[in-house]
Amino acid sequence: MKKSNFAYLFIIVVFIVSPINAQDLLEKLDKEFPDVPNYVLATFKGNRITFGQSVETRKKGVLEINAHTKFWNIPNSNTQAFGADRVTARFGFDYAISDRFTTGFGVATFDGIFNGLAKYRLVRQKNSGKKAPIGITLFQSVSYQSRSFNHIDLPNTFARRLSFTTQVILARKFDSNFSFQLTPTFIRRNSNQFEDSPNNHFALGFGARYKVGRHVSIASEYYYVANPVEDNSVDDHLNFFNPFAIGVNWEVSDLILQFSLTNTRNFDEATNITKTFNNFNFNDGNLHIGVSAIYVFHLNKKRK
Amino acid sequence: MNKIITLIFILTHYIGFSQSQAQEEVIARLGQVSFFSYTSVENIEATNNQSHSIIDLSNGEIAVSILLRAFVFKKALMEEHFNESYVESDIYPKIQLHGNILDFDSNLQGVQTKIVKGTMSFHGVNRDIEIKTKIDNTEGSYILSGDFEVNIKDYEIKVPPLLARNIAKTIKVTFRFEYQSL
Repeated sequence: MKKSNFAYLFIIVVFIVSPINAQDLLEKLDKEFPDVPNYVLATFKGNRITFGQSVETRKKGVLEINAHTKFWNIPNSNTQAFGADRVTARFGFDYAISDRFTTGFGVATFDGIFNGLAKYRLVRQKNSGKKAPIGITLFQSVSYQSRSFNHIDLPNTFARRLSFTTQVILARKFDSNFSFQLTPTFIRRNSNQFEDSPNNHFALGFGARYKVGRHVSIASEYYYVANPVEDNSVDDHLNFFNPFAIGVNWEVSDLILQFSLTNTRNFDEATNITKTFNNFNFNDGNLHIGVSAIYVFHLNKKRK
Repeated sequence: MNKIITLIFILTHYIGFSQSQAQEEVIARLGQVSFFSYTSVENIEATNNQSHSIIDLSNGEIAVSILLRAFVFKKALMEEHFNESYVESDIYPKIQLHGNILDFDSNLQGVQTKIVKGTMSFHGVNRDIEIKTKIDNTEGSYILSGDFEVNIKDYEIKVPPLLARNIAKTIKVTFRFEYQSL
C-alpha cells in the first residue's frame, strides 16, 4: 500500500510538472526571432547638432527644408533695433537620395556664403546581431564666398573664394538618453587674405546630446582648432576663437526647432570652425542667439 | 496488481505526453499586426509583418510577441518618433501577450469565434485584456484574426498637447496569424 501511494505521488508530480514545462511559451517565442539588423535610431535628431554636422542623415526620399537664424548685438551700438542689432539666416534644403546618402545646398544672408554638402553613412551603430559599436558618417562640403563680411575680404579669383571641409564623424548613442560625437575635421581654405596663416586646418569637434524629455533634448558642440588662422597685420588685428554652442532641440511631428546660445555667426563649416571672431561669453556683441526651424517632407510614399 | 496498473498508466501518460507535446504546439512567424489612428487631422497607420505567436493546442494556451521596431510607417520620421518618443522601444522592445483561448476546441473544423483572455505587456505596463478572435481551422492549419482597440492612456503613452488632435486616443489594432507546426 505504501508503495502504491508513492506511485500516485509520482503521477501527481508528472501532472504538475508537465504544465510548467508548457508555461514558457513566451520564452520559446523569444528564441524564434531572427537576427534582423536593428540600427540605433536618433543618435541626434537633426542633420546638425547646432551649428555643425551630426552623424545623422535623412531616410530615402526625405526633403528637409531648413531655416537657421542668428541674432546678436553690436558693442556700444546706438541702434534702435529691438532685441538684436544684427540678424543672419541660412536657407537651405537637404535631400536624401538613399538611406545612406544625403546631399544639401544652402545660402546665408550675412556672409553671402553658398555651400553644398554631401554626407555618406559608412557605418550605422547596431546593438543587436552583427554589432557595430559606433556610427561613422563621411562629410564633404564646398563653400563659395560671394562678398566681404566682418573683416574677411572677398578674394579676387573664383578659386580663392572656395573652401572645402572634410569630416569623419564618429558617434555613439550610449543609452536612450545620451549620445556623443567626435568629429576629426580637415579644412582647406583657398583665401590668401592672411598671408602668414596656414591654408590647411585641422580641427577636432565634440558634440553631445542629452534627452531630457520625450520630445526635448539638450545639445552642445565645441570645435578645437589645432592650427587657427593667424592675423599678423599690425593695424586692425583679428583674433579667432574656437566655436561653441549649447542649445535645446524640440521636435514634434515633421518639425524640429533648435534654440542655441553660441559665439559663431556663420553656418558654413569652413567658416564657423576657423573664422569665429569672438569668444563665448556674455559680453556685449559676443553672445549669439540661434533659432533654427527644420521641416521634413516625405516624398517617397512607397515604403515597404 | 494495483502497482502494475499504476506503472503502466504512468508510462503511457508519460510517453503519450512527450509525443503530443511535440505536435500540439503550432507557431506563426510572419503574423501581421497593423494599427490605425484616425482623426480628422491625420490618419496614421503602421504594419508589422514579423509578429510571432505560439499556441499549445492541448490546453488553448497562447503567447504573442511583437517587436515594436518592426512596425513600418509611411513616413520614416514618424517611425523614428514612434520608437524614440512614444513607445520607447529601446527600453521596452516588445509587446507581449500571454493567455488562454477560452473554451478552445482544437479538433473543431471550420470557423469558430473565441475570446483570448490574458495579460498584455506593453510600454512597461501589464494589463489584463480580452480579445475576440476568429479561429479558422482547416485540417490542422490554424488562422487567427480579428481586431480590437487599445486606449493609449492605459499604457502610459503620452501625446504632447500640440499633437492631441493628430493622434487618436484609442488605436484600432488588426491582426492575422497563420500557424504551422513547430
